Amino acid sequence: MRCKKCPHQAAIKLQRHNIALCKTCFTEFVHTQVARGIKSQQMFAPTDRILVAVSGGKDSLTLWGILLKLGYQTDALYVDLGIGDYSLQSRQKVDYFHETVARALGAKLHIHTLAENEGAGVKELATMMHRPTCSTCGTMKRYHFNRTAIEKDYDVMATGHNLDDEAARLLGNVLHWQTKFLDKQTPTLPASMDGFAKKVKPLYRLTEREMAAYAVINKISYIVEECPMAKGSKMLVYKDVLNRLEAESPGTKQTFYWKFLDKQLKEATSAATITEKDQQRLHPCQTCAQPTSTDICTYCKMMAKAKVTA
Amino acid sequence: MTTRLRQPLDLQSSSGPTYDDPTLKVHLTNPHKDIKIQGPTRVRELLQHLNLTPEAYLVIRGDELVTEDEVLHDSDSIEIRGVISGG
Repeated sequence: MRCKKCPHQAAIKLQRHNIALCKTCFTEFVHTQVARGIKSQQMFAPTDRILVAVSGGKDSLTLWGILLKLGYQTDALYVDLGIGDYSLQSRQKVDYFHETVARALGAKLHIHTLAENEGAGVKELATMMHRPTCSTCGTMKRYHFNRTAIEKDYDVMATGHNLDDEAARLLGNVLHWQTKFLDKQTPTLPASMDGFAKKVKPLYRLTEREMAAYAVINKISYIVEECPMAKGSKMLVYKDVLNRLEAESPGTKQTFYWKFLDKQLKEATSAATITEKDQQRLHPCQTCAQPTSTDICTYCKMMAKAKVTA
Repeated sequence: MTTRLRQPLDLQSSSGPTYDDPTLKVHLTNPHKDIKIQGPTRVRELLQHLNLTPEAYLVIRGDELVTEDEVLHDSDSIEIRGVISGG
């Protein structure tokens, strides 16, 4: 199979675009898609300081690398969740990428370790609080990424969510008619009030397989193993269903999510609407001052409960 | 004589079926599993045979990606890498 754009051997076939690309042309394709997403969704400007949430997985490490290649000033935050060997390996991948790629481009790596700061790993915290591990993990990561972005004065926080992540999340929300979550399923969320960082998802135009292919082609060493806590995750089921549809009808995931974004745009679910709603609904947490809809935010409630239980 | 791939393999079983004189080495990651299959076979046919959705996997030979039309031979050793994460 030959590359559609040049005479070289193709490295990957992209069924949804009905093209095959060589390593160089595919790398350019990915960079173009990210740049297009940043521009069309008004994610950030060339002078903005960006904080990427990295986990050691393919999406976050490639995002960090791509933003640096595109010339953005991009640092990263790794939250060490304390999940045994999995966290040890993922931390090694993040450190390796920082030392071999990012540091030379002037990028810093921030580390937050739950065991040191919260007193226990995420699994133990979840057990103490009688909550699912994935839900506890989500709360911890969202809290620390937002807090670090605010405290260290970053203009925007970026995550490695890709097209599969967003399509699967949309499917889950639609299946359960959780329409209240749909407003915020955009690739750019504004800094709607004091204490909230602007949040962006520059990989929303690229599939999970494309991100893994980019990592392999560009020799980015990432943790291939799935998080042991993710077994039985509903997201895996939704992704499997969508990929089966994709095999029968290439472009399904893209159409599903992108048409949703078009619809939102037409219905004027804009940054202004999100900002208005957040400002009506949220206020500073009495303990930590981060925005919350209750008196005490979920993170502080969890920490208070963990202290009592410990 | 080449053994044709027909029945999908059951990857959940602890000892997946192999063929006589198997030589094409297939390593599946995420989850890990090693199987041996007799070549030659195309990547597309191998994924079908293993009942794997192409959109959820990459096929890697050495450190190079292999496209679906490529023929895998008995001397090859490949990795089929799952790319879907639950996060």
